[in-house]
Amino acid sequence: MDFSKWLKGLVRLDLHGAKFNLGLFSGIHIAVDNSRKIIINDNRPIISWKQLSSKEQKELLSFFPSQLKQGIPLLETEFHQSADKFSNFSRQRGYQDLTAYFIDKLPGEDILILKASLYLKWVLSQNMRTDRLKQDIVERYGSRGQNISNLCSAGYFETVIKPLFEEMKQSPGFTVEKFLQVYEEIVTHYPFAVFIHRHMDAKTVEILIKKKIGDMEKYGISTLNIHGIGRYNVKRIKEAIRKLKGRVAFTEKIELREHIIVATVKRDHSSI
Amino acid sequence: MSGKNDKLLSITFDKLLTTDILHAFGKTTKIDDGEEFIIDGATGEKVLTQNGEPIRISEFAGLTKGSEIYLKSDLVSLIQYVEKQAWISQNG
Repeated sequence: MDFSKWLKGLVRLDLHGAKFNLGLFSGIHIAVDNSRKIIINDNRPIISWKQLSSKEQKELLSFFPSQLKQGIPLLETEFHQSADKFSNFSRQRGYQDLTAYFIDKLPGEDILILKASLYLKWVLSQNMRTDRLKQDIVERYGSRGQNISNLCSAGYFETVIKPLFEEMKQSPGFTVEKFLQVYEEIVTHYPFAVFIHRHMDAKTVEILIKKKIGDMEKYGISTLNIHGIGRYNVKRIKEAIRKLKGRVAFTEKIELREHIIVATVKRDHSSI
Repeated sequence: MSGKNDKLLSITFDKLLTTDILHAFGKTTKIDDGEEFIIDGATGEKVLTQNGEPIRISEFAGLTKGSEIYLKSDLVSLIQYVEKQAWISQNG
């Protein structure tokens, strides 16, 4: 017996011969427990595992390997929902254009980090939880993953890295390798930006910002953007700037919107 | 949304049924270093993802075609899965 016939039998038993055609449905869900053996909800059959007899449970499981061979994935519900969400997101023009632009320019692993980071940025913009996504990137790719994610969330792939490539490719003797050297420096040190996180205390924030301002000359950077999200980080950044004002020569412009801060610092060339 | 040619697009299952689903494919679990990993019932070897990573039972996200490809529930596996499905639907 094939899966379709078996399901039809289950429907006949429990739905009194209601019309059933597997081709009408996009998927089948196996739930732990429902009130009935099988229900059709939102045009989707839902089989209740606990309502099946032991024989029916064995029969159901026996169909899965052949279904998989036919190319039908077998997915845990939450993963399936996340896949749908990512699939819809990945059709967005901005995502497609940016990833297509970089696909033949950046290392393959960085493309994957960029894709993950663009999704993370979108999830954050939808006010959904991002802790697990951030953790996935950092666990797999370490500090490189975190750095690319930071650069992506602040829009630097569009505003700095892409224009950099366009500018560099006009130069005589340009090669992708030359671009990658500069790109590597950006990903490793991002000299034009600093990202403040929750786990940094006031002193660490102050030291980091001071170091970044000091490095501006070394990298020939005229402005430094200090990024932070959340009340805690906003407070830390403002405090650090206030403390450094007396000791380091710079001017700053602070943009604050819904607990997202971007403080742009211009270094005075007189002294540090 | 409807399936094509009397063929489903996916079978989904509640997380609590993970062990039963794995049994259907001859897989079981083993505790290693305090963590429960999916192993092959016949060989006792850890089951690996396409990226060569062992899978904790808590991370198991399902299976997809390509003999049997075991999926982890992390973001990168999700992206790779969605891109593969998109490629299959475009190229058959």
